[in-house]
Amino acid sequence: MCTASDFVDPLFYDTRLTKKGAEQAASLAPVTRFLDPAPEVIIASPLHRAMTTADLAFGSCQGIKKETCALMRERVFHASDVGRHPDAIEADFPDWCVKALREEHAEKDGVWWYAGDTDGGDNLGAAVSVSGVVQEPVEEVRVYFYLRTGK
Amino acid sequence: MRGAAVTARLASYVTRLTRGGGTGTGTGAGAGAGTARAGQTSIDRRAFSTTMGRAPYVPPHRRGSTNAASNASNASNASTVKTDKKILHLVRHGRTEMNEYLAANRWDGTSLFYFHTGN
Repeated sequence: MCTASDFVDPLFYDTRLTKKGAEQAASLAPVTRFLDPAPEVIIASPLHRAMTTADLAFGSCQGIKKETCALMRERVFHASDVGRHPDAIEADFPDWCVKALREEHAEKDGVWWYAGDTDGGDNLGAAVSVSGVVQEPVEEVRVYFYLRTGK
Repeated sequence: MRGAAVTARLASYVTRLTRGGGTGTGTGAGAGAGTARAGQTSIDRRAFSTTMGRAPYVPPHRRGSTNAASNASNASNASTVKTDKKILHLVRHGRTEMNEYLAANRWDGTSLFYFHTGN
């Protein structure tokens, strides 16, 4: 097993699903089609793999709102966990709502992923989120869903 | 408070999801991932084996009616029943290029974690 020192990050920024991964996601469609009650909203991390999975898994569910939310993101371990600007996301996923993502991270020029605590981060995944950075969003997720359940 | 209970459990699931390591899809991220339903506390591993070569995923409230035709029938019958419960279906992303790389290049994430936390 590699340690942190000899592991080489392949720099798969915002890594994509493989053919197998797409098949895995699509295999859920026959199930999601019959979910009862039908989903009201699909919420996914802004990462390409998450949104693509959601599209494939819920492809047979028509007319459901689809929102992307940075709170659902994974920890940044590698470049594969580094996201893209909301404009790029919207271009690839035009039927997803990225309004909140764009507005909430406008001050950071659309950088919604963890890119270091202070100045000096290159926004390209050099920073690795640590425990405190993880715990904080989890608390935000609690609030996020708590508020949504009342709607 | 129901909402608080739901979110507390969800937070637990999300924590597990963000730890990564799983390469499954559907609800197969790991033991903690799956469907969270308000008012339920148990986690059924059978629900998490969607595409991992085992039984197909059946939401907890649909157990006992495992074929599509039955599900469709139930859906049409139950669609008129209103409920105030919210059901969270957590779906793990499918296998990625990075997952493939990690499978071939094992990475000890704990080393990096300890390095950055100084422990």
